[in-house]
Amino acid sequence: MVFKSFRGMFSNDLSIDLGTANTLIYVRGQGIVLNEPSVVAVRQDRGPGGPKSIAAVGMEAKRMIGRTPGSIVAIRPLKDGVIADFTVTEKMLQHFIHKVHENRFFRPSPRVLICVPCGSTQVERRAIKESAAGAGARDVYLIEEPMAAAIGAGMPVGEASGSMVLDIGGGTTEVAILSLSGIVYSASVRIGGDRFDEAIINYVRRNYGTLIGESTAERIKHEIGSAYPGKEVLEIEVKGRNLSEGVPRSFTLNSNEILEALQEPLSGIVSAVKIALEQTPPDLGADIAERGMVLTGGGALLRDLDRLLMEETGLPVIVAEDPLTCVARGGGRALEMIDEGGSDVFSVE
Amino acid sequence: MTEQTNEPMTEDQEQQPSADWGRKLARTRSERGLELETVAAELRLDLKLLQNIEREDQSVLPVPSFVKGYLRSYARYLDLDPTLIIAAYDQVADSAAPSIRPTRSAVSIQPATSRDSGPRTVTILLVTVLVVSFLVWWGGTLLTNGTSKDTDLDADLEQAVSGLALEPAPMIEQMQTPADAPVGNEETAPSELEPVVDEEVAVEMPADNLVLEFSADAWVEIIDAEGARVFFDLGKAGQRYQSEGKPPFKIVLGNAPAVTLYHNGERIDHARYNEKGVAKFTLGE
Repeated sequence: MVFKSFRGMFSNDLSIDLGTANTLIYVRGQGIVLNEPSVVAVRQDRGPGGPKSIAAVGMEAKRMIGRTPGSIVAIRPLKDGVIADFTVTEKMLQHFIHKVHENRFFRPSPRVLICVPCGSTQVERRAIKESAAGAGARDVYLIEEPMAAAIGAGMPVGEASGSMVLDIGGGTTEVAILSLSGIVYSASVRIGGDRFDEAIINYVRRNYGTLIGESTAERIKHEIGSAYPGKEVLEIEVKGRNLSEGVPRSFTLNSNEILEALQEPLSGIVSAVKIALEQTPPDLGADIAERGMVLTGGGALLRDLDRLLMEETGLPVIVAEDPLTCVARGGGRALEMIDEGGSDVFSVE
Repeated sequence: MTEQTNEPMTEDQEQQPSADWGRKLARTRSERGLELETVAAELRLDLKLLQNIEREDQSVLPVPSFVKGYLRSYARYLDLDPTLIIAAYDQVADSAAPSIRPTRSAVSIQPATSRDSGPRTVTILLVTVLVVSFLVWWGGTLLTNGTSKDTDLDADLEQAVSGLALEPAPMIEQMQTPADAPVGNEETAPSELEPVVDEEVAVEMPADNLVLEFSADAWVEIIDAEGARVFFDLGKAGQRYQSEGKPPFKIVLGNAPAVTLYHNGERIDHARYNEKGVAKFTLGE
């Protein structure tokens, strides 16, 4: 204990956005220092049951997804915003924590704040906490993602007025209404960027009889994906395996097709937003109607998503500045707030 | 956000005429022949809010993060580059309204806790205590010959520790013991038995005095009443050893004829215990 706090003097405080798709680490006073995919490549030597070792973590491991030989498996240790593989998550965190503490003599023992989905259970939170402690953290604080996202987006969460935030991550979408540094309403639906990718894969298989991989689907989403019919139609050429011929073929997709493909997950998000608005106390609802809701998370980068929500709800919708890093930045700000003396935005159980 | 924020903004604009954001949007809108009502309906924004944006009236606008969002939507609606508009707004907003320090008042319910400063203070304190006690102990070992200094040093240690005694008591005791122990050892150390150089060493000890003289090499074990090994070594020929301990002593003499044993100055005849050169007996019962 004594040595942990001694080593802590040589470590930075970290805010970690442990997301399904990406892990971001914010260091106090330095900003975002790490943004890597939450992927770990595990090598299993000498067949099943043999010793396992970590082959790669992060960016390097993500490049291996779908391209690994039999002895290596690229794992995404988080699913739907919570830990699916405890040991691998711990190893990944350890790797990332070490990575941001390079050139240090002491083994790092930082204070760590981790963002958790508000829909996560006590067991899931505990798993995240233990995992961080196992990775060398001295103190572990948990904060609910929408709260961190709102702080990161610069919303006045401490005021006695309603703020609505919609955080669309890789695995989950969190919608929350905040006031006076607390969460008035929150809901989490297990729809996120991954479901968009899946929807695109399914659409292409159904309509083109062609199989494409996850990374191709993600590329399609980034380049031509949109949530609302735009003025111009974008096109992209992709390659996939034709199911009837069994050979790779190239074909062209346009943004309207992708829009059609994304209908199902998008309607899930829209209905979550509508339910949240229904459940909001009227006074807070009035504040939200006046100022609008804020989109954060990687999903906010989907073209015209704000437009879709604007049409569906009739409320102003704004996309936060740098939506991908909102949660991690908000977590960092929350860490500063611990030192400034307030900590009732945390669930530290 | 308050009245006073209006002042620096206008000054700023006079200095940097290029940095207009709301007016640029208003100009572009009128060039396109669009009504403000249309834009408001399209962006689902309040008409007054848009008017305030076009007038660049920061005193009635919400926090910058929201305004930036509105500007982004508005600029995109007019096919302008949102980054330029927001950059222009940032120049004004940053000087007028520092980005939110939001939750201070609402959040700071707990006093500054020891969560952060606690461990560090404790660590620094512990390290200081450790270093001080090490120095004191080290100084103590160097000065054992100058016996009069011993008491001073002890007092110094007491002072040094009590000076730092913000720690809970058990912590200090722990820290002291390693420092005290070696000092105490200095006094009892001669019981380890050394070749006698100075006859006067530990004359005042209340324990019984044993003297061993070896005419040839012999293994000797002497264990006193408290189980301490008074002597447990190979005595070399021609040497003379002296030691103390509490009687009765359990004695084993490996090469008994070669050993002459004195107990409080009185020669002990151990020939009767001698069995094949080895004598085992108890002395001083």
